[in-house]
Parts: sequence; structure tokens; C-alpha cells
Amino acid sequence: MPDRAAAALSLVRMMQASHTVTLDQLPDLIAEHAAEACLYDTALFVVDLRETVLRRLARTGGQAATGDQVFTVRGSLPGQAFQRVDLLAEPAPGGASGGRRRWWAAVTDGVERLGVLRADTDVEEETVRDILRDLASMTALLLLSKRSFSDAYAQMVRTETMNVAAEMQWNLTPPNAYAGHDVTLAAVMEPAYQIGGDAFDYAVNGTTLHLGIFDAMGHDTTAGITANVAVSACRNARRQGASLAQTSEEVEKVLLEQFSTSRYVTAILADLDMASGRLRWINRGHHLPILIRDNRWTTELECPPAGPMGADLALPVTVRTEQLQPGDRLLLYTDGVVEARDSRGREFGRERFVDFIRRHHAGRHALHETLRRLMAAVLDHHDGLLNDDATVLLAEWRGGHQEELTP
Amino acid sequence: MSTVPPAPDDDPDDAPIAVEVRGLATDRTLVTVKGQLDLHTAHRLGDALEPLLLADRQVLVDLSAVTFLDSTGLTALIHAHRTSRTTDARLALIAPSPPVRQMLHLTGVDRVVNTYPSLDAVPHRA
Repeated sequence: MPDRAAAALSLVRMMQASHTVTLDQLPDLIAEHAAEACLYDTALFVVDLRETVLRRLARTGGQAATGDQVFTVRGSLPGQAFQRVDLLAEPAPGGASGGRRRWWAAVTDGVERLGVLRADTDVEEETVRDILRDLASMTALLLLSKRSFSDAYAQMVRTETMNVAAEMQWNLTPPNAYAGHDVTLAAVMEPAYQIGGDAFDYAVNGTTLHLGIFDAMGHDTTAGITANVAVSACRNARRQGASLAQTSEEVEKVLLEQFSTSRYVTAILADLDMASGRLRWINRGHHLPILIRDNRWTTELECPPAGPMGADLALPVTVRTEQLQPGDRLLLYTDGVVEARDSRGREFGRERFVDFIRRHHAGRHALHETLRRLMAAVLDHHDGLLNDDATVLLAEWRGGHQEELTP
Repeated sequence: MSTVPPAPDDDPDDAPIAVEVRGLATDRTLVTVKGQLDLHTAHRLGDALEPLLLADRQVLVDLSAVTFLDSTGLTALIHAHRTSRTTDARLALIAPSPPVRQMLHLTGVDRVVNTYPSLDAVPHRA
């Protein structure tokens, strides 16, 4: 009967051993430590960028695997474990009780959903399931620590060829979901492999959540470069203590230096004080943020536009303030979401957009899952093809969902 | 970024853009734009405006028949505005169509460039 304390020690040893292993040696490392806790035939599956498939990370020198190399996120049990950030068991063969069961554990660091971990065990105790959760958590951390310099990982999480602008963007963005004490956040950007010009950013600094959504003019590689420069300049200024208005002015300075006035970026920059719920924002020529309250009442958060950054319009930057209530949701988005048109020229529209968020409220799905479904609806409306980038960032304050990214 | 493109059943035989320049007085020119002002066509407007934006000249741009405006189109208008500030020309937009108005309003460009609902509404010394 595996012992929780012994399993914990085993995890520490695994962590120590991990310092010198490469990403493709990770499955073997996991298998070795899993066996100590009566968990066998382990396999690690990573999810692709658009969270449609789970692909197995092969063990070095292992036998050629059989059919279970890939699972779709929708319509499979491992996929369900992934979507619901849960630990699920396959039904016992023949309905018999006892004997070996196969378990699927979501692999997440509490912020990003990375994949699932498979493990078989004869032991029916809750302890073993707890041990499996711990193993999955450790696996998440190890995966994160090794993937940034792994081309193999990058290839594994792609289902299409990526263009250079998108390559830049994926390197730039923070994780597409965040759950902390007072805030849960999710973001989706499409078309994932051909993004050119849209960007989002967020960062937590003490009790402040910094948010930003950006839309660079054009759809080419230069638009990607422009967005990259804008986000980097924004972070740079912010990290030097600049206020919202000052940050946007610094970004404009850099853009003017680099592009003269031939390229600009529209944006909403916001700061949320997570302790008090006080939200401050500025508008650089972008669609206004939307506030959803009680899942019923929605409003645009007004703010006079100070012109796009890089357009050099010399307009004053106005900072607006709003006091949020617990459960409030903030939506930042780019025009590609609402302006996607169907074959008859009808826009997806802001009403449909907001309505969708309201109907698929986080009670049933994680925020990120909601956005995934929204984006699928937007793409569907446009017959699967977007001619502009579409990005959505959704943040919820004190909605009581901060545990949703922990299995 | 962009505004919405025209519906597919628009007349495909029309050239995407038409830029017409007409002198109204020695110091007043009307430039009428029809069609799409975008990545492919915006330079046509830029090219037409540049020689007109001279000191003390009034240049009026009729945008009532613009069906589509994207960020490149907006940039052409912003550049014209900037040039007019440097050369001391007087630029004004006339009756921008809904897609143009939307874009000007969203970005804040309508707070810097003079816009009038009709030619008659434009003061001569604006």
C-alpha cells in the first residue's frame, strides 16, 4: 500500500534527477518514480496549441507504441480529464471490481493546462489518486522548465505550419489561462498559426493585475513585429514603474522611432487592484472593454480614445476608473471577433459575442473552456476562416473560481 | 485591424477605388473618394492628396461613398492630416460614410481631423 510520505520523498528525488534530464527523457523519469507508488505503464500526453488533440511524448528507446498515441480533446476520456482539469478512471473491463484500473490525470501547474498523464494501478485507495495528482503537478513543472528550449516540444504541440509572425507572438504571450487568489483569467488568439498583429499581455505585481490587448495595423510579418515591439515596450515601461498613461506614451515613442508613423497599434491598457476591485484603464483607439455583472448586466467601459500608439495624434490620455463587484467579468477583445462575417455578410457582432459569454458562464466550464467554445463559434460563423486576427481576454474578479485550474 | 468589407454581392465590375480631384476655387480643392480605401488602394488617395496640401490651400475629402476602410486607409488619412499640419494646408473630411465614421470615432482620429456633414457646412477659412 503506497505511503503518501514515501511518495513525497520520491517526488523530491524525481525533482533532483530532473535537473539533468532532457524533455524526451521525462517519460522514463516519470515511469521510474511512478512505479514506486504502484503506478504503472505511465504515459505523458501533451496538448496542441489550439487544444484539439493530446499527443504522446515518446519514451526514448521505447518500443514502437501501439494505437494509443493520439486522443482528441473532445470525445475521449483523456480529453475530458484535460478539459475538466480532473482525474478520471476508465471503466473497469467487464464491469468487474478490483483489478487494474487506468487513470487519466490532468497535467497543469495551476495556470496552464499542458496535457494528461496516464497511469495504471491495482490499488483502489484515494491515497494513490492523491499521489497521482502530485506526480502530475510535478510533471507539469518539469515540462514547463524544459520546453522553452525544445524544438521537439514545439513541433509536438503544432498541428499546422506556423508563420513567422505567429512564431513571434507565441514566444511573446504569457500563458493563456491564469488562476490566482482573486482573479481568474483566460485568453484565446486566432488564427493560431497565422496570427499577425494581435497580442495580449498580463502580469501580476503584488495586488495589481496588469492587462493589455493590442491590435497592430496590417496582417503581415511587420504587423507581428509592431505588436511585439508594442508589448515589449509596454512591459519595459511598466517594469520601470510607469503609470498607464506614461506606459502608452513610452510605447508610442518607441513605435515612432522604429516605424516613423507608418505603423500604429491600438490598445486597451488596464490595471486592476485585486485587493479593492478598483479598475483603471486607458483607451488607445481600441474597442472599449465590456463589463459583465451578475451574468446579466453588461456595459461598455467608456473612455475617450487617445489615438492609436504610433499615430502621433497628440491627444490627451484619459484614465477612467470603475469599482468592480465580486464576480464581475471584464472582456477585452479585438475587432476580428465581432467583425467576422458569414457568407451572407452578416457580422458575428458584439451582442452575440457578449451573449455567448453570458450563456456559457463559468459555473459549467472553466473560463478558458468558455473562450475556446466562443472562438469555435466565431470561426464557425465565418466558415472556419478568419481574415483578421481575433483575440479575447476574459478576467473575472473574486468569482470564487480560483481552484478551477487545480485538479 | 479593419472595418467590415463590403458584402460579396456588390458590383464586381467597379474598380476598387476611384479618386476624383476637382478644383472649386484657386485655394480650394475637392477630392472625392469612392469605393474601398484599404491596403491595396490607399496609396491612390495619398498620391492624389500630396501635391494638394500646400500652405493656405483648403483640401476637402468627400468620403460619403467609401464602402470600406481598413487600417491602411486610416493611415492615409492620418498622414494627410500630419502633412497639412506641417505645410499649413487646411484638410477637412466631408460626410464620411458609416464605416469611415465608425473607424474615425473608435480610434479618436475624429478628435483631430475636421469633419463636416456636407460641402456647404465647410467655412471658407476653416
